Amino acid sequence: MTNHAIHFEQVSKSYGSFDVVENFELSVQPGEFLVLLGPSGCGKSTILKMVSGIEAPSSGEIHVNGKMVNYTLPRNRDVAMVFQNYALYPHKSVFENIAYPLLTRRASRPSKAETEQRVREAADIVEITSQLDKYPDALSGGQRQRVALARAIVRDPAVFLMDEPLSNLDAQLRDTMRQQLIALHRRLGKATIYVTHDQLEAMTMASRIVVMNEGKVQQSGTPEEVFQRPANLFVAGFIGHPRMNFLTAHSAGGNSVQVGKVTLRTQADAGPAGRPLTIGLRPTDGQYDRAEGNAISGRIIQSEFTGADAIQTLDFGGPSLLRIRKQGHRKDEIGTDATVTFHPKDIHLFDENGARI
Amino acid sequence: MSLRRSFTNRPIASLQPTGAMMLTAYVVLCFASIVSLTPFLYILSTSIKETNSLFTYPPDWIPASIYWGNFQKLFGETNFARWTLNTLFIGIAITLLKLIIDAMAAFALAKLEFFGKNLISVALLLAVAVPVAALVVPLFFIIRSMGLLNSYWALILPALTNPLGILMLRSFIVSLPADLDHSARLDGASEWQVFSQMTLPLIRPGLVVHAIFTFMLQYTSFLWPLVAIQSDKKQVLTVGISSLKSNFVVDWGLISAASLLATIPITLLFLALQKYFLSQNMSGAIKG
Repeated sequence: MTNHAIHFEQVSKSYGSFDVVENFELSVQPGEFLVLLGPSGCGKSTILKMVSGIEAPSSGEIHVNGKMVNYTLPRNRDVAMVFQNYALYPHKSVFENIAYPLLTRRASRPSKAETEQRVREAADIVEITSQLDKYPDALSGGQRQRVALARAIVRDPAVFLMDEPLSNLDAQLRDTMRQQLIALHRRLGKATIYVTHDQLEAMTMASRIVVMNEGKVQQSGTPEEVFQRPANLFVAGFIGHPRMNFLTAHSAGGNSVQVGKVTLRTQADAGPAGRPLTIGLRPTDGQYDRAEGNAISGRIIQSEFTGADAIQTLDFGGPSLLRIRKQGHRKDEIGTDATVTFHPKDIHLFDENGARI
Repeated sequence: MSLRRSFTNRPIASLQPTGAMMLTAYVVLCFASIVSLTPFLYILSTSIKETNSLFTYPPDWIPASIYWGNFQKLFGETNFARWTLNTLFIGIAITLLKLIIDAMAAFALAKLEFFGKNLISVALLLAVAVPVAALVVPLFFIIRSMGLLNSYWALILPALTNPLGILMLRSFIVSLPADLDHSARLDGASEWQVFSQMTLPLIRPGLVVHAIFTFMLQYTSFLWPLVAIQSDKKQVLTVGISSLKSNFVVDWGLISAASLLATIPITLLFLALQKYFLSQNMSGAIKG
């Protein structure tokens, strides 16, 4: 256990009778970039607060660097946190903000020259050296975010905690900061727990994603695993854009399923004939103009232009409509017939309880 | 294109005041200024006239020659200077002590969790509702049994118990973003550092308001000093000035001179601190 950066053992948190986090079990390895992904209210921020010591768990144990920290004060946990709203100290300059973590402990307070040097190093990493004399209210959103990062970096903590750090930035800046955060993590190599509800952030940054819903872990795995083999309907629906199509179906015995009038071959065994199932088809997996594979024919009733491609809605006479991504876009396709094929490996099967088959 | 046209042609509701609005505002303001300044000017006028020339008609607003006798008499024959020092000393002592006590109490009530916290808050709120006049008699017996009557402590100690400042500062502290203290604690701050380095600087406008309010209240308090202090040497301005009225003749010139001088310290305080009334810009802390 000692070689985990962070380790959760049966951690639960409840307010009154409401369970925010239930029996959370997780180990974060040193150097790992772990993303907690889930809709708002799923308990992901609460987990972060419990690691930092802002909240105490109702039961279970949290270990940081092999030490149980349940009863350790936040200041002694060796974790640094970047808050969603930055939480910069408005009455301190950027320099004083970044230097603050170095100056709070009288015993280990570095000399003036060393403080100056470490603040400049941290500021240099996030490229805000030119702003050190300003006050937070004179900075843009992106610059404030960098100051918050520098303040976390300067302490050289064992663990970084980031609570939706990019959600207050505009889309373009978020793109840039995402890349810089990846580079920063590669450079520092510190275990990081990153909380977000943005699947794009999770997919691009994580070395491992933990998908959460209603206080429970739904799936834990690499971005490829959670995308290609979602463990249940929730993960399948939450990850991937556009959202996966879910169609009610039943097994046609062996490796085939029946959706409406269409029979599809699958890679997984669908079980005995007649077994009720839900199949999931990613809009991005559908192929137009291909002869082989599972063909689904229908009429295009809607086409949403998104730039490089279009999202078309297909009525194939099945239990629900099908949305398919198509490269290129022509308005006059609406009302015409089209055939889309899916590879058997791209047909995701879920049983009655929503678990992957 | 049509959208843009409809925008440019739309009359824009103007926030710029019109001439008529400005005129009305000035008339109202002038009237209010006259109402509030006239008594003050009358005191000023009275203080530089001999009392026996006061009741001429029509009133002589600007006397032909300035008469300094009232001021000479004030400093020569009364304890006016001593009363002023007493008032300033007691006012400053109470203000400083109250700022320290109230800020710490407010921080505890706003940020810390402890047994009986809600009960204390409710008790403070109820205590605000008790009028000062109702407290004078019990307070007199308490202070007398403590043997503190006719001492500065008799004026200082009861004033420290006013709970209004705690409640006001608490609301200031509650409005600070919680993530600031979370962040400070994670950055290694002790609870005392969170209080002294984060909370206090950020509620400075509240502290200034509280200081002015406390000092003003003390500066103008009359009933309790009248009851608690018998020695003329330990008396404060309000009671001292009213004691200038003797039984048969009222020396209005003397009283006016004293009243005029008494307004100076409080005016200076206001001028010195008014810039802090502008609330501090919090926008750098938290993106809204």
